[in-house]
Amino acid sequence: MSGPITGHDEPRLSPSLQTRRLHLRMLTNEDHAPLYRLSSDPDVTFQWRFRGTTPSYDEFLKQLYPGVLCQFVVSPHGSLEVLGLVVAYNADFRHRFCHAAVVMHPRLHRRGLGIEAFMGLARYVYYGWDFRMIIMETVGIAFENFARGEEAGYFTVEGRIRDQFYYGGRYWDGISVTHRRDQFEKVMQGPVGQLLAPGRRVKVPPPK
Amino acid sequence: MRGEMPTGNTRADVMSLDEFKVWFVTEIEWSPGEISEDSDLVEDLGMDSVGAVDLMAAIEDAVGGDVIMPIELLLQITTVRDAYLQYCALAHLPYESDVPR
Repeated sequence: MSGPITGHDEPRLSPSLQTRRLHLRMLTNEDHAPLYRLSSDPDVTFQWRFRGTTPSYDEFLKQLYPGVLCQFVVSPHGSLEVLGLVVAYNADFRHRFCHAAVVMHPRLHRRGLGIEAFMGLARYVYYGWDFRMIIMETVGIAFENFARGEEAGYFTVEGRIRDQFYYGGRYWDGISVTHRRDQFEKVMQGPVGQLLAPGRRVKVPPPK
Repeated sequence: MRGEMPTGNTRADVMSLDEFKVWFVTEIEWSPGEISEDSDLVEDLGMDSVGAVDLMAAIEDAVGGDVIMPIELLLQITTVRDAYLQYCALAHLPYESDVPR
């Protein structure tokens, strides 16, 4: 793997927090309550930080920032609606990697918006830090939502602990995946690159 | 319908539903060889998040004009027919910058 990539050599990297449909933005106090609700959503909680437990609001807030390198609320363009959260955390500057997590509202699952949000975070992280890879830990039940990404070269499955987690009456594998800097560059040549490209928006009429 | 863009790009002519189904099978890598308009993209055709990215990008390319599939339309897609209807909507809705404020 080569050393640092400069913006001049690699124009795909950018500090931009805008993706095609989404805006990654700084957390504000107003986001805490929606994120707390999202963390306790039955379709989210078992795969996110609290794994089905119900911490107090204060405890939730205490655990929102420790270890975080950078994190952003995911919103649609032109709105402050909280669609999800992307987080880069547990950075290791000596060995040049960090971890990342993405949580999206359940109504957005299997729509590709989690990938769009993640790629926005990856572009920002690879632009700002000389990391070689981003590591994600996931659970089999969530992995099924994006498993095809390994074949498509989005990431590499590095490890699997069989039957690690219990949800819904059965055990699911714990899965470690890496998204390496060269994979970022490679997938940006395909449909994923379009996720980060600007374009022209259409005016959608309000629902009747 | 063609929406003329300042850059000279145009949105493509809109396919019929039958043409769209042929296009879908041809262009969408994860599509089985045969689909019906009632096929559920997730339940019947196995679309996952990565497949959704492919589909979004392909529909945007098919419409042309560098148009963005908005989240509002994306969330209305469950079946192949829904995908077609939102493709049609994307081809016909005015660009935001063209709407008088």
